[in-house]
Amino acid sequence: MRCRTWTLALVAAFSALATISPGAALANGVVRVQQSDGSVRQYPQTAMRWTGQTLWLHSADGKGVLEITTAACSDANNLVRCLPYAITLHQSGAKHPIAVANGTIYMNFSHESHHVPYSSESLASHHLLVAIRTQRGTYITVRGNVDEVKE
Amino acid sequence: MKRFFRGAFALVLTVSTPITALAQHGGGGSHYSAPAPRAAAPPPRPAAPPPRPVQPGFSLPHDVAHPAPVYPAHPGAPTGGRPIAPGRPLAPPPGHVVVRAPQALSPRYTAPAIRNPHNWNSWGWNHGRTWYPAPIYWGGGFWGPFALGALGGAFLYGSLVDYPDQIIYPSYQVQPLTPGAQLLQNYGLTQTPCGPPNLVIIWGPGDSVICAYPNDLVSAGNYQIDPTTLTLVSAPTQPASSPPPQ
Repeated sequence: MRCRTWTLALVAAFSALATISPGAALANGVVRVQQSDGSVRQYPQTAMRWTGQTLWLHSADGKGVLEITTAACSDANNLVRCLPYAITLHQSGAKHPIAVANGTIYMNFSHESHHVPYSSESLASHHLLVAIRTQRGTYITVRGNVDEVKE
Repeated sequence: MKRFFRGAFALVLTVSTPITALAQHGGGGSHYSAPAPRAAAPPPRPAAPPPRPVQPGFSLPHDVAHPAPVYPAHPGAPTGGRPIAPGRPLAPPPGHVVVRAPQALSPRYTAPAIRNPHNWNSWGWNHGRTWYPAPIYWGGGFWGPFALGALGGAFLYGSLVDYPDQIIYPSYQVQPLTPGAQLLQNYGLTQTPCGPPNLVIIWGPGDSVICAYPNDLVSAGNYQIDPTTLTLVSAPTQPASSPPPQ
C-alpha cells in the first residue's frame, strides 16, 4: 500500500514538473545578440531546426523566430560551412528582413566531434556554431545542439 | 495516507522552485548583470531606474528599423565587375590582350573542357550537396567568404580591366577549404595576382575572376567553371556571337 502511494506521489510530482516548464524540454541552443551600442542579450533554451539550407531559431518564450537563409555550403574539415545572406525575424505577426553584412555557419552533420577550421573549438555531433554581423553592426552568435535536421 | 500526499506535494514544491526561477531568468532573453555588492557599508545610492520591459521573442531594434533587401531562394551571384569611374576612361597599354568576361554560352555550343583529374560525378566534390552562390559575397562565396560590402584593398590580388566596356574586375586571394581552393588543388594550379599576360584566367560565379600560373594540364587562357563537376571549361575572350557549325 505504502509503495503504491509513493509511486502515485512520484508520478504526480513529474506531471507537475512537466506542466511547469512546457516547451523547454530539450532545446539547448543559445543565441547571443550584441547591439552596436555594446548591450548584450542572451536567449537560452532556443530551439533550432535546420531544413535544407535554412536555420530556424525559435525563442524559448515562443514569441519570436529567426530565419537564417544560407548558401555556398561546402565541406570544411568534415563540417559543413555555409554563408548566411538573409535573416528574417518573424515576430508579433510580422516579418522583418534584417540586412546581413557577413558571417559563417559551421554545422556538424556527422556522428563524431570535429574541430572548427583554424580554431581550438570543436563541434559535437549535430551541433552548430553561427557568427553573423548585420549591416547595422549587430553581432548574432548561436551555438548548441540542433533539435531537428531535414536535409 | 494524508501524510504521503503531503509529502508528495512538498516534493513537487521543492523540485519545481529552482527550475521555474531558471526559466524566468532565461525565457525571453537575459541581460548581463553586475555582481551583487558586498555587505560592508553600502553608500546611499539613488533609486534604481525601473527595469526595462523584457521584449518577448528576439530583440533587434536597430536592425528591424532599417528594412533589408529580400533575396529569392538560390539567386545568382552578383557581378564581380564594376564600371571604371566615369570621365576617366582607361586605355589599354600597347600590346595588351583584350580581356572580357565570358558571355553565357549557347546550350548547343560545346566548349572544350579539361576534365578534372578527380573525375567527380555530379556534386561529388561537395559530398553530393548542391552548391548555390550566396548573393552578398564576391563570387557567391566560391573563393571564400568575401562580403561585397566589406571588401577592402587588403585582400586585393590584382585585377583585370575590360577596356572596351570600361569595367574593372578585382581579384582576391582564394581562401583555403573553399570550392575554389579545391579546384586549384585538383588541377595543380597556383594562384597569382591577375594583371600580367599569359596566365590561366578562371571566371567563377558572378564574373568573379582569379588567375593562376599555367601548368602541364592547363595552358594560359580564359576558362569558366562547371560547378557541378568542378571542371574547367575553355571560354572565348570575345562574346560567342553564334554557335560553331555542328
